[in-house]
Amino acid sequence: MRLTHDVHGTTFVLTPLRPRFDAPFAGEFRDAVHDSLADTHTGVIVDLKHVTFIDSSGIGALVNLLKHVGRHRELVLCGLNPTVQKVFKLTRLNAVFTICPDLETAFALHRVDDLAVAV
Amino acid sequence: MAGDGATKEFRITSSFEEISQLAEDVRDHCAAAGHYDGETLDSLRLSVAEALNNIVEHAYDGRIGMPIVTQVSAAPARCEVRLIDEGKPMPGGEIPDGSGSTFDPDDIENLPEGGFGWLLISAEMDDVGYERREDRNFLRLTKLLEPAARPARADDGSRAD
Repeated sequence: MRLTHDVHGTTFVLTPLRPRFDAPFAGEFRDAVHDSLADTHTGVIVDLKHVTFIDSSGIGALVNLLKHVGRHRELVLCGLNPTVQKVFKLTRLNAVFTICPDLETAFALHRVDDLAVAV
Repeated sequence: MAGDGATKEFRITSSFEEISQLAEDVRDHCAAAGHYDGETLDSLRLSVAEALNNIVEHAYDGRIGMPIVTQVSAAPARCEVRLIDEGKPMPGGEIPDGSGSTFDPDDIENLPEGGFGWLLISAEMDDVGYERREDRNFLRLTKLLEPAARPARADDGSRAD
């Protein structure tokens, strides 16, 4: 399994496990979103803490997710390491995504009271 | 073991799994040369990954099993990666300028999901060259490295104190 997903309250959390978020993984990521993200999920968090490399394929999958989430729900990315952050800055997508340092901060944005995170 | 400036050649076929591994192998080879810091190695890996993505998706139109040759020369002041494929020529015979990846950050519905590859390559590399020869594409990516720190004017003439 190359990613996990959990639901905390009405927040859908996706955690890629594969260190490389590139073309071989992007399809699986999109499938997980389209198969499991429900209209009842009011917020989505993608925790990138295990990701050490992202390229334009991975970025494209995240943009696709952002569009899928839509205007009335929030998407937050967290756990970006400096290598991953740099790609967001170079593409200027850091101006488009909400980016937090970690899962706890991301949950705080969604104001989820029950913080039950499997570590 | 790579010597200074020695070229290592990698031969793979066009699949996303193979290019994913090759980008890591190129980074490892450059790391073993011992000249570059982590950020430089990451820049090289990203540029090579993007160039390989373009070869698979555009030069070969997604066809798997097609040949890709990658040559890496990791010298102290300069790293050069040459990628050779037998696919379609680059449209217009020139490297795209990256303007295909501009967007309005407030217009989420119309954000591009692709087209960032050339922007990333040109941001991370100091020079990018393309040539079409003998029905093959030759792409050359060059990264120039900072010269090593020099002693502060050890050999200058006298200076007034």
